[in-house]
Amino acid sequence: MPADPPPPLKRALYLFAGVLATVAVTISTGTPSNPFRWVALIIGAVILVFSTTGFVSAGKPRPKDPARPRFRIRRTVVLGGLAVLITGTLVWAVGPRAGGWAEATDVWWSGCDHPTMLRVLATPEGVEPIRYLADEYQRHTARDHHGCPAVRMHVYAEPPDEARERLLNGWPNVDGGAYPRPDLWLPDSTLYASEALAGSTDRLVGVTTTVVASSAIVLAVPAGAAAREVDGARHGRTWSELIAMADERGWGLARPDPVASTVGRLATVALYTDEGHPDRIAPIARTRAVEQQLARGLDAGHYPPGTESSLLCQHRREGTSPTAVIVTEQAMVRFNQGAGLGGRCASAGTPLPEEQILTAFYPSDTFTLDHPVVAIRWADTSPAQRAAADGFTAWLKSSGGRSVLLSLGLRPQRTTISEPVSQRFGAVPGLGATPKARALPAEPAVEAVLAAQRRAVRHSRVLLMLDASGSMGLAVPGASTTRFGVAAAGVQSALSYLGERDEFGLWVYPGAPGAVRSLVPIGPASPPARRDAAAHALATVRPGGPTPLRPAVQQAVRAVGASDDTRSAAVVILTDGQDQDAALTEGPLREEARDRRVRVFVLAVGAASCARQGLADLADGTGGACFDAEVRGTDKVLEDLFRSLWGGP
Amino acid sequence: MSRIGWAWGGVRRAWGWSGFAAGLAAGTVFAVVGANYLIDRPGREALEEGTIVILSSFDESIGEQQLALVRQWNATHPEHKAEFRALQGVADDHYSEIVGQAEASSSDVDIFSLDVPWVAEFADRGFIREMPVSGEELEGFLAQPLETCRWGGKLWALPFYTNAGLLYYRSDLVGDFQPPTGWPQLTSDITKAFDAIPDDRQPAAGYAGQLADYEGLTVNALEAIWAEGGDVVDHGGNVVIDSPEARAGLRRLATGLAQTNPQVIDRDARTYHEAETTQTFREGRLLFMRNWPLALRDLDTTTENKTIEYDVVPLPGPSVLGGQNLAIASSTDQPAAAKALIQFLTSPRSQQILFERGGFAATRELVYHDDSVNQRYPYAKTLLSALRVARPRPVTPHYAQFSRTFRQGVNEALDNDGELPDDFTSRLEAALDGRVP
Repeated sequence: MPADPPPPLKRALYLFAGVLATVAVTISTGTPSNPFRWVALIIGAVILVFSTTGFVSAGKPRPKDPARPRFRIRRTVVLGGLAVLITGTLVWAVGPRAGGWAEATDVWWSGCDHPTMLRVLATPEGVEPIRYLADEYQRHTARDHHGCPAVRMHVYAEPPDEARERLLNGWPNVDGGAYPRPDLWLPDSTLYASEALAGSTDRLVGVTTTVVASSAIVLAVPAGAAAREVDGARHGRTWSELIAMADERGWGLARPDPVASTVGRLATVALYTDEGHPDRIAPIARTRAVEQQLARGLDAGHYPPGTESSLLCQHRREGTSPTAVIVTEQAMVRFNQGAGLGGRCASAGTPLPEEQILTAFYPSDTFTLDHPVVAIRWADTSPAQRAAADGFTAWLKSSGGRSVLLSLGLRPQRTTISEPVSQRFGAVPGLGATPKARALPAEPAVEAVLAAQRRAVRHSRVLLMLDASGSMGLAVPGASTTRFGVAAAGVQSALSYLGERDEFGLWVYPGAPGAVRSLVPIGPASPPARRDAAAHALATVRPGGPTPLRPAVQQAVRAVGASDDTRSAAVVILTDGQDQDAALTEGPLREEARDRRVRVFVLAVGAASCARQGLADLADGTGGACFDAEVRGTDKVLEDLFRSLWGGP
Repeated sequence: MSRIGWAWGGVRRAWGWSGFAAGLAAGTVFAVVGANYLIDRPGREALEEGTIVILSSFDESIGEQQLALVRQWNATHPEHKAEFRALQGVADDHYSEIVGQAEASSSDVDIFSLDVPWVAEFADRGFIREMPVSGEELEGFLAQPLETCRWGGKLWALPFYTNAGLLYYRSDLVGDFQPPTGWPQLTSDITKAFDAIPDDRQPAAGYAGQLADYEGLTVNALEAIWAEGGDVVDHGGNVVIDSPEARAGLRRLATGLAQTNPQVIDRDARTYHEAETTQTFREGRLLFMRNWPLALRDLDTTTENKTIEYDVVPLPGPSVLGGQNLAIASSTDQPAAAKALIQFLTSPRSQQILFERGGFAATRELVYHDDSVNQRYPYAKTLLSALRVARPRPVTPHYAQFSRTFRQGVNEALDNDGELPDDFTSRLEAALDGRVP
């Protein structure tokens, strides 16, 4: 005969224990994310309840003792509490491990859960190391989850000032289309990140900025020159003292472009102002002397006016060079390690021998890139996306993340500085995790310095060459114009960026007859009449004929004249690439341009491509650059090129 | 009292708890079933009012025909206007943004235009709804593109446009050319052609495809393996790359890239995307090129003196099936309108416009038999025969991880004379599950 069922109070307590067990299991292992896990949870909770209640009420129920009701109630409460305690202890001890087993079984049974997508916006200078950082973080999350990455990170780049502008406007579409909207922004410096971003539009509701590592802007001197010429102290001098020393010792000096590069921008502020009087810009005679010294260094080494990556890429291409370059300590360390520098500058494969490395001098009044991580919360950011962004930031602050940051040549906070930030790779590790950093300048101060720099820099002479062959007469998909029409519109916008001391000329090729036809001869850029003449002349061009690219380039290089202290010479060529005259090769062309210190910039549109060795080599070898452009985006690329090189009035 | 009687008595005594639980469970089930199947059922006749947002990659068709179709829809459906929201950048940018928007806590996207390998992931993650169309409504679609809209035995999308790789060749340099039936024949054709071409007219290399480290490498490597009769993932989802045929396919790529005279595969091809391949072919530096049909647009030299003559034939093996499919977003509150718009964009008339005016390969067979299409695109029948034998990439909800892992292994093989990495099979198996090897 079955035993009588337990009394209602006991049943209620057992039920309560079961509910508590279920909640505790859920808390300890996480809310089940699929039916398999729900089934496992429920079965597990039921087993826990039954085993606990079975233990407690084993055997026949005791007969009620009417003489001792208080004892009976007390015993019931004690037994119920014991059930809860046993259940809770089991769950606390076994739950997380059981959760791990459940997850491993789940992965084996149905594969990984899908990782959360994180869109990470970097700068053109920082995108290569950040891609490595993202890969390491994804591997880290995979190690913690049975090989399943918790995030998938897409890293892409935009210049930081443009990125800030777009963020302030709620990340509007560009050219009729949407670029990835960032969940994380890594702009190299808090110069750009500002709490003012949050609330600037109703789409961007929150911004959290976390500084994780730093890298000082240094003067990286070829080791041979540094060892021979200078005493042991590599810190303590000001920027002014260092560039005077460079001048005395005959070192070339190269600086990234202040428009295209954060490093170039901050270095220019450091060169033009005194730390004690940051608002006082040096007089024009002084700034001109600095710019001439820099121009000589850029010309001598055929350095392109670009980012620190492009400077170092050219440095690697040239082999041994006596030029000192103004870069971050991180960039110098990675260069010395032989790491990839981005773009066409792949990894060298092996570190440089010690006698060929660059060695850092740390000016006492230098700036530091403080590498913030900006987590961006949009109005529709999901909790999972937010958690993923927070997880990445938290990892960067952890020992694992700091170790990876150090391996990238940065100085993470609260970290003992070691390889590769070491003497072997040109650094002075003993300066500590965060060398003394000068306070970042305010935006108006930066603008004032850039305006002064434009007044001090030598003027430019630019010869624009537009491809007017038959293929340039093709219609552009989605636009009521031809390829040539888009290019012509780009020229009009681009010319507005030339300053009043600059000069330009405008040619098309082929000529009729001859390889080229001059539309506007080389002359001053400022008179409106000359720009009007350019617009009028472009409107009369009817594309047709072959593409004698190389003869046209040769004539342009000879016509634009050589660069000197007062003038930089450049040829800007737009081509859709089909060259019917292969008589000239890029080698002799490149050498002639180098001898004259003429920089060649190439825009490859349509089916043309910089990946073709000739175009890229011609540009890179002369201190210029090659850009691939979609046909419909030609005007924007031209405009961006002129803005970054010649800055505008 | 029997045990059953005792248990039943217990239930009755405890009816309060059980009854509550039973009522709660029954009510929940009823609410869920009712909401999903009785109330919120896509495919009902009335179209919901409001703007229908399509999220898609940039319209690269000639004359932006996708946008033109949207304008036509808007003209005839003023209460249900469509907005074509384009994504800029390269394919990886598109993928990150389309997934990012799908993961957001709220979205106004009603239709996703998905690259064919993304359908499985979007279906698995619940980002898209099952496509509620009847078998009759599916008649007329080409079987291969339609198959890319299925996953897990269900239909999730309709094919918007399709794509298959073609073999372009220099008809002025390769005499008596018959479409190669395999890579050995293509290699032989290259050698014979070089022997016959005078030195001053010889191109730099015989062949190029897209072997840079992006999705193009996945596509070209799959085609190389399939051309040898091998495979990477079979119909059962098993990794089968460790076969003599698959090894032969990768080895042939590596051998072709090695420096030889004549140079069989352009050594720069490991840096090429579609545009670079087209440019190199256009400059007369190649005998053969593998590329999509859209490359013809950039080879069109009708406005200037031609320097090359060319024609197209199918690849020496099956091509990878490309294209995009249109799917209804799960978060949409206009499912009927979205479905109607999708059916409009994939209708025979719209497909004719997309192909004839826009150059995007149609997903309806009828279009390939149209006289004006064949007049405008003499390669149309060639493309149709290529589509009929084209194959989809491995279907997995973790395609992004799979493609990345596959490319890593292919690059290692190309760096080592075509030898498969020892652990390639296990790495691919892990990647099919979404695991990082």
